[in-house]
Amino acid sequence: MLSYPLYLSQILKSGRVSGLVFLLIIAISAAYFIRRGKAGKVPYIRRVSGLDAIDEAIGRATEMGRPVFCSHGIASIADATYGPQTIAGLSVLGYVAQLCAKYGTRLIVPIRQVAVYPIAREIVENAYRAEGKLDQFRLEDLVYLSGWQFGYSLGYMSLMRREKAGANIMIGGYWAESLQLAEVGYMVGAMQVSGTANTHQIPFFVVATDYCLIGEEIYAAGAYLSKDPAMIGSIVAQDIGKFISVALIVISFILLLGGSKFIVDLLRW
Amino acid sequence: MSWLKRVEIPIAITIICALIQIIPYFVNLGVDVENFQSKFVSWSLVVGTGALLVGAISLLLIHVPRVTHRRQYWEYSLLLMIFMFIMALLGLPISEIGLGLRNYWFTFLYNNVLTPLSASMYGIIAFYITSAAYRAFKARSLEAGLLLLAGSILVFRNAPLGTFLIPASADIGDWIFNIPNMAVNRAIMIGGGLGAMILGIRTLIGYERGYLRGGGE
Repeated sequence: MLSYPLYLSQILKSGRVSGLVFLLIIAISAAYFIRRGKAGKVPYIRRVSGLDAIDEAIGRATEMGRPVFCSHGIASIADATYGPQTIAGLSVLGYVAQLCAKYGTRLIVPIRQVAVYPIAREIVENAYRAEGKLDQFRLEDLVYLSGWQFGYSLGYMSLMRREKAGANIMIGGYWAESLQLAEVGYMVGAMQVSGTANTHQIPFFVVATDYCLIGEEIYAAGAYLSKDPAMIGSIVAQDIGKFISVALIVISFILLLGGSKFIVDLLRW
Repeated sequence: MSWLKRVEIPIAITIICALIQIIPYFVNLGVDVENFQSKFVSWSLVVGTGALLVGAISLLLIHVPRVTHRRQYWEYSLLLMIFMFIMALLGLPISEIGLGLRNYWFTFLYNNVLTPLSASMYGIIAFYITSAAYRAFKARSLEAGLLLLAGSILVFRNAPLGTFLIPASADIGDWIFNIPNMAVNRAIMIGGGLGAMILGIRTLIGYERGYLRGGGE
């Protein structure tokens, strides 16, 4: 193990120093690129076909006169590991709600976590208000289905069948219900855009839906859809993190071949 | 009281709460601060429990009109409300009159209705996997062909008959599962972790407002 001065060991927790350093690098990079973005230097980011397809899916549902389903997964927003996926899903919900309000398309939001219900309601209501169509906002279309995973899934599937979903947008944390929802969406003929960072569910979404956002793409969704230069700038910091990670993997691999555990010890610092 | 509707207030609350969690994770601030941090986490349980009422009201808002107006499938809505109230009543923490989580009827309904229903719902996934696999396993392109090949090997590896007929499928399947699959899995996990980190930073500095009224003011 690497050692560091006594005063530092009294201040910082052992085993978490490298994590703190990494976090600071990413945070400083994000702040820098956000500043650059605000100054008008917008970085190029590749097109994410899944996010571009959201407009197409809503447009298609509008033409067909069918409702749009938009869900943000089943993860608790307070969960340290999976909560960010719900936040990402809610960012997409805001965009979807705005488009639905603009086109006058019915939006149905199936909800599993009660704590998310007031947030989702606020987002959708505000989107309708922003479009000047608050009279079209239907509270009963924000449906709290069940806190029980399969109760939620069952309710979601039934709703899609009954209401004949025209589009089904699922971005957030999903578990075993992912394939059930995606398959029923396919059966009712809905155009589907999905996304999750749960690696064990990604194959199901890839197979069963029209477009799938993989892992990190869902976290970039809010920034990508907002088209705000500052937000887009922050995505570059994500790439810097990736470069550092890849560099650490490659250097660590070479050093390990030479018998040195320097990087491993550094990461345990 | 228009200042109460200002978006800066929830952003400030988010930042304060996040810092209370982040700083003691990295920095030694003493036992008192750590005790406060863990107590702070338990407050979220209180918020979550309070939100349960919102869920119950939402359910009633949907199902009561459906029953009173005799809309399609109103019988199911009635059944849902009856069971919701039965379970809520039986689960009340009043052990003096035999209610609570150890109540006979509460555990009976839980073990004999909810648990088998969960298992059945989980079992349905097998059929959905089959229909999804049928659509996916069409070698229309090189990638789809590779997916078909890898998927078929793993099917053989997991089925006892598969390894009996083609013993090599066990070793090849293990290799696919443990090497290329694991490598991609970890790459996605690293990317996902970084994405979550950036989302957290954006939230912390008040830029990510998607979860606040759709990002509006």
